[in-house]
Amino acid sequence: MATLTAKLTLSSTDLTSDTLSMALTNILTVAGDTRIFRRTVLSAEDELFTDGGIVIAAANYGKSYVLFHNTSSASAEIITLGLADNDGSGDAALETTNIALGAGEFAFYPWDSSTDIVADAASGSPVLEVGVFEAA
Amino acid sequence: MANINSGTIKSILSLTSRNVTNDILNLRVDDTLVVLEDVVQKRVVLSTVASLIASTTDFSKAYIFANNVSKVNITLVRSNNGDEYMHLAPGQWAWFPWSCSVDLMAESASGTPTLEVMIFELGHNN
Repeated sequence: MATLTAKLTLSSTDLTSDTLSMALTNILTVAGDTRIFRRTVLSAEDELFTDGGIVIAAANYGKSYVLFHNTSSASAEIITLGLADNDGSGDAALETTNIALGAGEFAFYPWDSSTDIVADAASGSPVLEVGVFEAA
Repeated sequence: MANINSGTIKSILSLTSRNVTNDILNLRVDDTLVVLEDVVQKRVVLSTVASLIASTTDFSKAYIFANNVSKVNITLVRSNNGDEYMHLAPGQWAWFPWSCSVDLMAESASGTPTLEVMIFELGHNN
């Protein structure tokens, strides 16, 4: 049984009159697969990941902690992430979007692995860094 | 209308592990976010029926911090019993740029747990 220490720090001195200074640390238990990889995300193409057309397949993982990082520095290269195939059509199209990663932006959250995750790029071919840490 | 807010947030995420693989993990990503619109901090008491956390009619693209401060599992969902985005066990949190294309809702596995939420409305897409 392995552990993953995740620490998030948020700070600001000019956002509001109240200075923001927050740090959270979570020690997460990892018992399954660990994968860190980079993939090119194409624009105007939902089925961009060749492994079944999806970025992370629900069938391959149990609950996992996931990191998505848009490594592009071009402001127009926004990567949209969302859930696939909630219309029952059997495809891997991005049908529900919930995360939009601008250049340099990142997301980290516990994914429940109930639905595949699909990505799409607004333009260009930005590189998406993905980390998957399968929980116990 | 001029923006009522203009500030920056420094966000840093570090992931470290000595035993998840033989290669010691030491990953860090950081970003400085420009926030031009609303900042909301709140705690929401949930139930097994999904509650609205952030409405697309109230915000544009925003960064969301969601923290399960209770002892019951919480799920972020698209709608009541709908598609599940994230699963927050007690003490777990999420940090992500919400696209604001679909309402963000949350529901509990049982009971009435509390979800801590911070919303930082960017006011721009990058």
